[in-house]
Parts: sequence; C-alpha cells; structure tokens
Amino acid sequence: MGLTILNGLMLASTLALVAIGLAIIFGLLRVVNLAHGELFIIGGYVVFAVHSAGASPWVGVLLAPLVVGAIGVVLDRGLLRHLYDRPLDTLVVTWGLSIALREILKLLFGADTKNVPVPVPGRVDLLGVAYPTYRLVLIATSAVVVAAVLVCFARTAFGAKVRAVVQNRDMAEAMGIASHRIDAVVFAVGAALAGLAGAMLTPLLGLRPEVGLFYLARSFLVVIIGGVGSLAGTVGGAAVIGTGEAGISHFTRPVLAQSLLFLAAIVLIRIRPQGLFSRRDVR
Amino acid sequence: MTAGPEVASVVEHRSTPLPRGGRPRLPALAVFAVAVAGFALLPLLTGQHLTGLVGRFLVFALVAVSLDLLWGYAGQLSLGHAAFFGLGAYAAGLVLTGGGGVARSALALALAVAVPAGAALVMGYLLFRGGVGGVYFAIVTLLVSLLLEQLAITWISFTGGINGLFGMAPLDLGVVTISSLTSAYYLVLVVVTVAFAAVVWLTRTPYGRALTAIRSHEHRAHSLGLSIVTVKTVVFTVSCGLAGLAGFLYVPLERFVYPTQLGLVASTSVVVWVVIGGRGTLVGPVLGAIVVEYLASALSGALQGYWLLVIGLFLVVVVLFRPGGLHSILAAAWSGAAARIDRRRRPSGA
Repeated sequence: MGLTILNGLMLASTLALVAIGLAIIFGLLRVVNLAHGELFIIGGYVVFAVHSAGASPWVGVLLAPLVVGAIGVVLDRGLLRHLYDRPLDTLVVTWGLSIALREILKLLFGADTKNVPVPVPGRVDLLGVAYPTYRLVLIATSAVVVAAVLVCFARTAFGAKVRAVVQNRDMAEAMGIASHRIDAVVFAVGAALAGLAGAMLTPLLGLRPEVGLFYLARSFLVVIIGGVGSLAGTVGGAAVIGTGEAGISHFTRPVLAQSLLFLAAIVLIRIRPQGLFSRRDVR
Repeated sequence: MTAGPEVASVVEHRSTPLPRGGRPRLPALAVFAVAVAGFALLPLLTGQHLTGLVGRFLVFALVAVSLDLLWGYAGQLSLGHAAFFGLGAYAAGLVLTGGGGVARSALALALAVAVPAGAALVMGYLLFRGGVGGVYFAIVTLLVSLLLEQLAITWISFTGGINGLFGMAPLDLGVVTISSLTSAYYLVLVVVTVAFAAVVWLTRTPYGRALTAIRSHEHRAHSLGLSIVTVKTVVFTVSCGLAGLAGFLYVPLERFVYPTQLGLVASTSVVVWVVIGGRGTLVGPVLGAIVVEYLASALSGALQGYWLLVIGLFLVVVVLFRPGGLHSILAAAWSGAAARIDRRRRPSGA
C-alpha cells in the first residue's frame, strides 16, 4: 500500500513535469507537439552520453534542458512557426519530426536498451517501505520545478507578457511585446522541461527511443483529463493519471491500467468536455 | 491557459482544394476503367510475387481512401486509422481460425466491418458530443492505436500475442472458395473497386457536400441546420467500417494477422499515403498508397534502417511545400498539357 502511494506520487510528479511542457506550448502557440515524447527521451540520451564520456550524470541532468531547449527553438523557428494557422498540418509535421528524431536516435545510439546507474543510491524507510532515495529526490525536484513554472506564469512580468500574447496577440504587439520572441522562449521552456524530465527519469526508464511515445501518450491523457483551461488543471490531471495508473497497476498489468484510464478519459470527455479541473468560462 | 476543446475543433483547411460536385467526367471514367482493366490483367502477365504485392497495395489503397473520406472531406484526422484496419483483420482472423464454410465466412465479413464501425460509432458519439474535434480527435485516435497494439501483444490467449494469428481457413463465398493467391487478388480487386466507386458516389451526394461544408466552416454549417455531431459520427463510422473491410481482405491475401498492423507505424503509413497522394481527392491517396508502398518494397534493401527516417522527413517536407501532394503535381501537369493542346487547336495567329 505504502509502495503504491509512493509510486503514484512519483509517476504523478514526473508526469506533471512532462505534461506541463506540452500544455504551455499548446496554450500559447496552439501547437500540439507530437515530438514532445522524443524531446523527453533526448534528455535521457544526453545523460547517457555524458555518463558514457565519464562525467557525472548530474552534469547530464543540467545539460539536458539546455540541449533540448535549443533543439526546441530550432524546430519552432525553422519549421513550426510557418504552420501556426494550420493546426492539423502542424500535427502531421510534428508527427513526422517525432518519427525522424526517433530514427536519428536509433542511428546515433542503437535501438537497444541503455542503462544509466542511479545517481543517488540507497533507500529510505517511509510509510513502511524501504523506498529508493533517488525516487524521493525525483518527487521533490519535479514538485519544485512545476511549482516554479506555475509561479512564473502567474506572477512574473514574463508570465504577464505570455498571458497578454495568449489573450490578444495583435494588442500585445501594439503594447510593445515582441510576440515572436515570446513564442520562441515558451517553446524553449516547454522543450527544456521535457528534456529535464527525461534526464532525471533515465535511470528508471530502460532508455530506448520508443519510450518517449509512451510518455507522450500519458501526457495527452493528463491534458485531456486535466483540461487545457489552466496549467493547474494539468497538474491535477497528472495527479489523477499518475496515482490512477500506479493504483490500477497494483492489481493488473500496466497496459491494462493505461487502457482503462484511456476509456475513462473518453467517457469523461462526454461528461465534462472542459476536463476535471477547469471551468468552462475560463478564457 | 485558454480555450477548451471546442475552440481546437474549429479548423481551417486552406491547403486542400474543395472537391468538384456533379457527375464524374468522361476522361476520369476512362482512366478509371483502364486502371481496373490493367489490375485485372496483372495476374495473367506476372508471377505470384508481384500479384501478392499489388494485392496488398490495393488493400492499403482502400485504407487510404477511408482516411481521406474522414480527413480530406470531413476534416477529422485519425492518426490511428490502422487500429480500425487491424480490428477488422483480427475479427476476421479470429472467426476463420475456428474453421471455414460459408456461414463462418459471412460472419467474418460481418464482424470485420461491424466491430471497427461499432467502436467508431461509440467513440465518435462520445467525442463529437463532447465537442472534441480536430487536433484532440487526432490525439485520441493515436492513443487508440498505441494501446490496441500493446493489448494485442499482451493478451496472448486471445490474439496470439506477438506471433499473431495464422492457420486461418480459406474464405468460402458459396460459389467459389478463396484458396489461391490469384483468387484472393481478384476478390480484393472487386471489393476495392466497388468500395472506391461507392466512396466517390458518397462524396457527391448531399451528405458528401455536408462533409465539405463542415470541414470548411463548422459554425456556418451548423447555423445552416446541419447536425455536426451526427454528420461527423456517421462519417467516422463509415470510414472505420471501410478500414475494417480492408482488414478483412488482408486475411485471405496474407493468411496472417499480427499486432503491428494495429500499431502506430501502420497508422502513420496511412497518413503518409494520404498526405503524399493529396488530401481530399480520393484518387490521390490510392496513388499515394501504391507509390509509397512500391518504393518501400523496392528500396527496402538499399535504405535498410533509413526508411522510417525518410518517411518522417517526407511528411514534413510535403506538408510544408506541397500540401496538395502527388495529385496537385499531376493535376498541374494535366492542365498544362490540356492548355498546350488547346493552343495547338487554335493557332495563336488567329
């Protein structure tokens, strides 16, 4: 029981980190980035590369958001900004990018599973189980970063500019906000969050190019259940999906758990199209 | 941050041309007849290998047409269309592993269409009633494909797991038993031809016009009295039924059903055929399926592990620079040639 609770907490907090990157990119740019899972797993490969080079995995964890953020900016400025007014085409293009990035990773690193050692060994007694310390570090770090993102968008001058662009792009530009620069920064931040999540989760993943897809799928469940109305909704959605998957996996296979959650999400869309955690009138 | 799914469902399609209404024109009918005749003669002229290959292309062409009806006409992109193709194949495969005969063959056909169509009916109702369309709909279908593939791999006792289903009894149509590759090829050719003609007809009925109306401006179509939920749910159901029918055809042709048929790579292929062929044209996706799959089989030796990379980059490049696909290139060449003939008939000195 204690183990299920802690696993649920870990899944929820890390999912929030991945999904919030997806949500801010969608919220501002209306871009559904199907390559988000690959950005996530590239973060993992950065840690693997740094570790293989003989450096501390922590260097990789710090480097990953920078690398992945830079890739995000290149993709956004180079390709996606030409498609902002064609949402379905953007979807197809990011799907193409997702496949291409996955294949490039296979060519660079091979298709086999890579293992990276856990940077913080040892266990801590908590809720009656000896829980790996690194997982507790993960929960804490994810919670802090997600909270920082929420505060940044709600309270800082940068956050105010982003919200201004979301509400009315033309008016924001008239007020002297360089909206294209905001676009690029937001895309970079969203990508960097995915990279950070991938980097930190690497030791637990069994690093393979396809793993990104499963995190993409879960992130979408999170966004659908939480609703796209607010970033807080994404965090709520992550809590539901994370604890739900850990809870159901306690009794059956993870695939079945995910399928059940997916069916629940589809029924939920019919009952509450705006998601569990946002009000319909939020604009 | 802002807006719910209902906003995401308002999608503009600037890139795809509006289909023409009215009767098919004579040159188009002639090309269609010649193409069908060519496919009918193929087994007499070539060996088993090419016949099997082209039979598979025709099955894929039907899947591409079914997605084009949904995406190119109604503007609803399914990123997981192989899931419905695979559901049809698994339904037919499971019935036919239990034995042959006319009754079982009929049941296999009925279930292969009804299971994916039924799944689409329920899903479509829940999603479209909930105001989910456009981008969200695409993501939900993507998840369907991802999860069904995993389920088919995991649920070994029912689906045969990663090994899939094999040892299916031959289809018994009463008058003839589909036991050879050639007979399976002709079954595929007849069914795909009829289904293609039926879809072309459907897009030219008032219902087909309603699909286009919804794609080009959902709110306006709604204000003109169209029931958006019903029209979308019906087209999704029809499209998935057609994909299931293609799955049914795959069983006598390949005698093998396996999990990757349901999965994301297969689903992506369908999108690739439609994009490269040209959305909203029906003929384009048929061409796209045949050309892309021919290249895939011809270049598989040369490209080895690079094929998916090429496909991924191709999707990006075609959508960015040639959103009309092969169809737009051919149409431009056709009208160019027609203009030249026209000039020759009426000399410029006149």
